[in-house]
Amino acid sequence: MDSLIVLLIPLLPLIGFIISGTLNKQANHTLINGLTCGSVFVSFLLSVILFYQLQSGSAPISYKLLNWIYVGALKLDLSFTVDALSSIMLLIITGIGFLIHVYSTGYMHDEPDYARFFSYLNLFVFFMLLLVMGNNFVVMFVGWEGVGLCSYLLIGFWFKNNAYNDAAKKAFVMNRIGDLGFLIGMFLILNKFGSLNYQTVFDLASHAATNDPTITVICICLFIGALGKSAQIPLYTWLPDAMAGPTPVSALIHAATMVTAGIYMIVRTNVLYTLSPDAGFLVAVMGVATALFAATIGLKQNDIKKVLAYSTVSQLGYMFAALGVGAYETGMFHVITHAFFKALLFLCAGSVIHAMSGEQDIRSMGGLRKKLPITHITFFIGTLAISGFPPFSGFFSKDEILAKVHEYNGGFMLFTILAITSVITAFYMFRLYWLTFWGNFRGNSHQASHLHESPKSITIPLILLAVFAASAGLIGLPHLFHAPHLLNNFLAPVIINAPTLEASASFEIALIVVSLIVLALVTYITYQIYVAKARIPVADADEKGISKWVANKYYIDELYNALITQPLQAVSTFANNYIEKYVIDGTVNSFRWLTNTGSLLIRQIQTGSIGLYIFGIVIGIICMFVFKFYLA
Amino acid sequence: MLAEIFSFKKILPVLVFFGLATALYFNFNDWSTYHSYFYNMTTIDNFSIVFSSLLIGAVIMWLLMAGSYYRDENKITDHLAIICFALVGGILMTSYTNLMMLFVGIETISISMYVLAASDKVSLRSNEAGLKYFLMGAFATGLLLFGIALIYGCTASFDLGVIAGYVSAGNLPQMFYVGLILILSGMFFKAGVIPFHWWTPDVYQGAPTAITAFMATVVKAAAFASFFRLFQMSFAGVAGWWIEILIIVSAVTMIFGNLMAVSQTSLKRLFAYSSIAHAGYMLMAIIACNDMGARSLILYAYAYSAASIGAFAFLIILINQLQTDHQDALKGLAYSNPLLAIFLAVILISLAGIPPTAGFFAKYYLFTTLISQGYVGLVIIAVLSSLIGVYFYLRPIIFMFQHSNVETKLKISQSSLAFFALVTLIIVILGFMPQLIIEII
Amino acid sequence: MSVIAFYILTVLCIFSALMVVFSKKPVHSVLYTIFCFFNIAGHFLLLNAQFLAIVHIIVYAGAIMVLFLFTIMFLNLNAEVEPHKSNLLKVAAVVCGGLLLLILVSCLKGAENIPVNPMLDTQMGMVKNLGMVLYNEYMLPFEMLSILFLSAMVGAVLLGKKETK
Repeated sequence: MDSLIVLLIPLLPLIGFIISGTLNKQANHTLINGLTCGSVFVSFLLSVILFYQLQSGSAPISYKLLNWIYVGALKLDLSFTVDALSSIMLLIITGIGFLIHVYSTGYMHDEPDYARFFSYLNLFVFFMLLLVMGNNFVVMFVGWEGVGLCSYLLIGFWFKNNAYNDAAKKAFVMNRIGDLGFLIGMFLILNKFGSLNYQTVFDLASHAATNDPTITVICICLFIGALGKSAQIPLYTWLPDAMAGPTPVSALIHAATMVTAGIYMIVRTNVLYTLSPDAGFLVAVMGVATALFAATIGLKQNDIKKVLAYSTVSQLGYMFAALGVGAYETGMFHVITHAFFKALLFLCAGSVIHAMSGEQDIRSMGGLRKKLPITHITFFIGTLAISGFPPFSGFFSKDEILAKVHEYNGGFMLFTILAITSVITAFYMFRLYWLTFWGNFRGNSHQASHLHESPKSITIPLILLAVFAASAGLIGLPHLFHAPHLLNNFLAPVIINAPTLEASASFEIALIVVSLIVLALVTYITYQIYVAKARIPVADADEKGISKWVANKYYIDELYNALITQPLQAVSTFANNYIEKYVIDGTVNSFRWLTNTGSLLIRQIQTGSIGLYIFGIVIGIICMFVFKFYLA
Repeated sequence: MLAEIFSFKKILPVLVFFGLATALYFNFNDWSTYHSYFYNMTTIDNFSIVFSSLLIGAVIMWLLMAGSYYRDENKITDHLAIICFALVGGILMTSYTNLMMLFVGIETISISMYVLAASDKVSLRSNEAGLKYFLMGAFATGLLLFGIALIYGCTASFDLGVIAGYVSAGNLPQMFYVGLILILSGMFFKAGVIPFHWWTPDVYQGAPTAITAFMATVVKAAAFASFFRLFQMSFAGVAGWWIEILIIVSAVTMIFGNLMAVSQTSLKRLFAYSSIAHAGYMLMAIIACNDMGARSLILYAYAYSAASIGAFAFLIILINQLQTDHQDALKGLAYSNPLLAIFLAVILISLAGIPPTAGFFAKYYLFTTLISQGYVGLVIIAVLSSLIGVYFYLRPIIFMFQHSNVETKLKISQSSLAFFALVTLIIVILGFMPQLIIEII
Repeated sequence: MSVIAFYILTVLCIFSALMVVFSKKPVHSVLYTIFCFFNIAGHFLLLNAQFLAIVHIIVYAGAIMVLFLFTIMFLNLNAEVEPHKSNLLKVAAVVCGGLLLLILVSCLKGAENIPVNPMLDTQMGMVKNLGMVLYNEYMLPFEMLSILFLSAMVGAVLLGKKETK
């Protein structure tokens, strides 16, 4: 029965995808809604059942579908395993996935390609489930590629717009670079451990020596994969562009689930990372650097979705920082809280954009709190959560990360940067909040006349998510409260040999007090700037000095273009014009010429005359005789 | 035995269909029971069962396909009768353990084919094909018979087991070797390999397409089954002697068969040459001359038969509706009949031997078998020549995707589409699970 | 005695077979064929196979060749209408056939004399013994041959029927 549930969870969205994909435009909205939302909802219920079983101490539940790849010594099954870690991911994917499906029924209501959108969403959920449920690296890789594909399809969902297509391509290519790292990592694992099955690999690895160079290389390769998927320096540039996709997609794929796949992978392979402190340190540094870097860019963005996108990149940096110092549970904790509040923020942004008839520039907004009360309240909760106001969820997870990084050997520098980053985070989030919902409306009269609160299908998911965004922190209370850390206990079986980092109670109190004061300060300052003085950001072209750099995202895109794209293009143009044309085509064509000419010559023999044919046969027989009797 | 069942089922295709299904059932009834019948004239073993199942299965498929071809014609009764006779001959060829039975089987299937090749009486080409096939076939029969007579002269027996005993006793007279070469010549002719292939293109092209399909599947498979059986059961003891001939013939057949196919623009002729080339590959299985060879031959025969019956079924539709089999007729097919184009593409890809189709695994298994026996050079030639094959198999696919100003819209009935789907399914299933066939014996 | 008879028969047989090929008129060819068959029947007699000899004459010389003669007469073939083959082809054919002959002869020349099996029943060719073998040991081929003939018969009917179109 349990194994059947395990099979059904990914199967249902797949069925939803197949049916809605096949029916496409022939089906009406009700059918599509029932099918796609229903399948994800049932998956969610099943995930909850599994979660409770694991919660009550059950062993990981597996289901083996078939013997998949049996080549030589390599034996891989297509099988699923649900343990504590994947169970949490399941809940996030199906739970938030369901809410976003519901939200989309309202958001995409007038879309002509309604069925296509939902079939892609279902396909995405299927691949994401595959990614977290597989019991070996290859299944994870299939899911990994699958979500990349869906991300590509959904970013370019409005494929008639070329800029969107470019964004989709960019996401795809950037991810490919990371995937290459992942693949090489897989090969190395296979080479080192002779298997790709999690259980086998981790069992072997737990006996391996610390600082084994091969393991370090494996970790770095896998981390490169994570860099691409989770949009970290230097492969982050695709994520802001990915905002071209419909907003529910941004919420589901580019905030709550897919981009956390990199985190999931590292937590999954925590045994290896624990064995390689060097790789761990690299992860931490990259995470911290990305957190700061993306947060500063977020300060100057004026597109509501872009701000959130950079904020996502920055928050993912936090998670990597936690993973790097060995606090895997804490990383997962932030994944959970972030999934709630970032999905919430994106959906609110979607609701705003919906109300503003597609306008995304915050300079044209303002004063929306009266017209969109529910959106306003929920967005406010989201802002408080991400900024880390107690007792909202972001506070617990972020403070835990800060505390753990602080305890990390030599982590003071990292801690300081992260602390500064969290101030910046609060700053740009409140900037966004004030500019959008306070002050006077700055849009045109046409937009003003259309301002309205979104329908129930949009607001209900918002409210639900807001409740979770506010309260999800309770699963991981600090030691201070002497309450059990529910998440850590639940995840304990999955995390092996990780170092323990415990902050002292006094440090925790200090952290809370300081952060409260700073946050209040930031709130006040931003209110003064953006509401009281009503300073509206200027156009990008008018920015000066460092601001200009920041507003232009440090010219990273341009840098990549000049350093990588242009030289590559030059080489490929050369190859196309000269090498391809003369060397390769020439060789290939000469073979073709040889074949064709030879063929034409030979077919001349086939004249149709029986006499000649029999002549040929007899010659053949004679040859055989001569060959065997006189030459042998 | 089984044979008696067929002889009376010539009234209706449906009846024949059920007759064949019954035969298939009885066939599998004998699974793993090693029996010889009628003074060891025939022996039913798993090899013969698998092959006769292939033959019966192919005839069933052929019936499904040709049902529409014969819809308006009143000669269906005669045709079906002869087809059934040919099938009897084919089954004899897969299960014989006596040279006499081999000869009778070959003659039964050949005479049926002579008649059927000429059965389109209003077409000059069909008449020509029948006559050519008959004249050259008679010549080959003479060679085969001469060879059998010489072997009998040495061994005083037609029985394969006795001959094998004679061979293993050693010290063979020269007469025996002469007989062996003559038998080889006869078998080469029936298998249609170079330099005994001359009849193939003309007969394949001239004969009615449905009959060509029959030749390419049932006759070919039966010929190779008998070829393999004869040389494994009787002449394995002197394998070192005749294998050299086979290696050369097989290499020449693969190279020239593929090469000649390249410049063909008529699809029917293209498939004729491709059947020559495939005969070259199947010869490789006989070179292996062991159980693995048997398995790879079976897999190859299944894969090739499935793909070519699909290809010819398509040709029937094409020729019926457009009166041409020139490759230009395919232009734009992918847009006018997308589903059909996909099926045809899978069939062609399988013939070319590209994964994940049955054709690929058949070749793959065959090549690994040969490599494990040390025939690396031959395998290299085979791989290179199959590259040429890829060239001309993919060309029709390219044509299908070209736009043309003449809309070629084929009218395909649901049942034909279902037939193609079935063929494609078989190809793909065998491609993913070749062990279904390989591990059966 | 029988050796002399064998050589006479053989020479006649080869001579008549050659004449079949070389004669200009089809009817002559057929007659030479019949003559050839008689010679072969003589060989059978030398081997003490009277039944085969008689059947050979009745079936081949009697039935089949008469059929051939009729066909040739119906078609009214004669030397004039015979399609002219180029000399090159003739030479090629002769060279080719000659080569095959040469090769076969030279290969068989070295053939050892296979000792005659003394156990062989000299009465084998008698009708009774033949029947015993045919309906016991060789029953299956015998029955299968009937299918072969049935197939040929149906084929003949099929090809001979008038096309109703």
